[in-house]
Amino acid sequence: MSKKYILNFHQKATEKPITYLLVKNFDIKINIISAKIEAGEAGTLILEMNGKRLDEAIAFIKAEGVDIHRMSEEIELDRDLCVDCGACTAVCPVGALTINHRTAEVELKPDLCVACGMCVKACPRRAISLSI
Amino acid sequence: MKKTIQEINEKILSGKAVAVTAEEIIDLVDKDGLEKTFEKVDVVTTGTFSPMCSTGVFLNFGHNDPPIKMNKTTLNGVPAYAGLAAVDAYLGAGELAEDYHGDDMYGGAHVIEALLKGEEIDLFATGAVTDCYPARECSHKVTLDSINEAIMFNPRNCYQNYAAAVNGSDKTIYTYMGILYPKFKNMNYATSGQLSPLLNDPTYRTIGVGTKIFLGGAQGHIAWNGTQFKTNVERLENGIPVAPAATLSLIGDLKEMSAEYIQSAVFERYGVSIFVGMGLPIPLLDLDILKNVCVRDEEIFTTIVDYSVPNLEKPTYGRIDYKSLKSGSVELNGKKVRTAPMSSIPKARKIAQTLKEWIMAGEFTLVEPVRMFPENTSLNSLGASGGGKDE
Repeated sequence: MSKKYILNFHQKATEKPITYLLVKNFDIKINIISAKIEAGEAGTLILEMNGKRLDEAIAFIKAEGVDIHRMSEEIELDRDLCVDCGACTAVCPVGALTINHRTAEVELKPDLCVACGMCVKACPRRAISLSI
Repeated sequence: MKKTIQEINEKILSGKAVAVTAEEIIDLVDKDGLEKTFEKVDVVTTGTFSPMCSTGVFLNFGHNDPPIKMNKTTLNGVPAYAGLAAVDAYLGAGELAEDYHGDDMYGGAHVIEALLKGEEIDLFATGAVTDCYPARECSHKVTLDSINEAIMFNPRNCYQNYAAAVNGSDKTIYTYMGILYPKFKNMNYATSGQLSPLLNDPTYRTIGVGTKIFLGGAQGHIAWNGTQFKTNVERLENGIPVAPAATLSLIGDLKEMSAEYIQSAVFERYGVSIFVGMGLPIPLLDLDILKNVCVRDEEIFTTIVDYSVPNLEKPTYGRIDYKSLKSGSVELNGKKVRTAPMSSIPKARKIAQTLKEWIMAGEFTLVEPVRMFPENTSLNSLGASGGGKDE
């Protein structure tokens, strides 16, 4: 299964063709989910990555001074605050937040999250946080 | 086949009444048929847990020494209306703090929730200095226990049906129905469907002024028909209106309520609202009433309304049933549209379940309405600004 990662680039790291090197040197299959990078400025890249040499690839990314985290570690739903109203499920573009058909409770699948942040705004209980 | 509220109350008090939820009754009637179920079951309980902006509390703080006739009054910086006697005030859930410096909206709903959690609230008031009320201003820390009364009084709750909201424009809009993406990308709806109080007694045969209810975890009452109470709405054969119709005005003692069933809500770029948990018991007085409470999500329809049009009259896109809405996606104009609720079904279920248990345990008797709701009502509107009677 492919996993989603968020890469935070510092100014310097934006000068290297990181995604190209991931494909060429580590044979990683990449799907770019979102990219907010401008040359010479800090930026964020969200990638779906898959491949046998994924661990090596991640080590390479880190060595290049790029901050990398699994997406699933970024989103948090505070169950004590959540009332299962479902307002977040309206805006989630990837189905990471859905309503369980049987229990009618809100379900979070962190692996699907692309960190767009809309659920954070949509939640009337302010129960969702995104640590990006 | 008939029963009276008095007969049902006698059964409740002797611990013999049978209550089931508005979801459970559907399966029961499917299994045993109407008549056998009518003999067995006395009350059907409903529930809803939804943002209801028209909510607030009347507070009496107790007197300052020397006495003060409060005018400008704030609670944690949120203005309360004090144009009443001395230390009476009304705090509306939707009122925003005057100068809140946090990173999110803060309003009356948050103060109500804080009171319920037993937190200390900063009360500040200026006084209209008079011979009998000499104090010019006062500031105190108050809690729900320290004040005399906290009476929840909500002019308009529990809408009987509500629109399914979409956005036909090119930009995202932020509404009390949540965030709506452009070009009909999502559709948000608000009632609990087959569990919803007023959809189970669509023509108000058992409900009226005085009806005892579950309100915020306590026993409250229907105080009156709600504001914007509208009966003249297009209805299905089962009596269900296909657009917002009746509303309820509710009253209860905040001191008896629980923070589990009254919770603040923030709607991005809209404002503050409050989730209110309400449950209505429906006594099964005859077979027609039993038929009504058997209503299923697929038999309840609402109208799809485009919220991007900034006028009172908004374009509509036909009707949709609650079974489809609850499925997570529907088809609109040949395209798949994601659907999402604004009200909590798990909470609504818990409310209906709790009310059922109260009745079965003999802790909750029914109150016969002391006045039925008005018939043939429709709404007035202000029209365009600046308009008058002469035009």
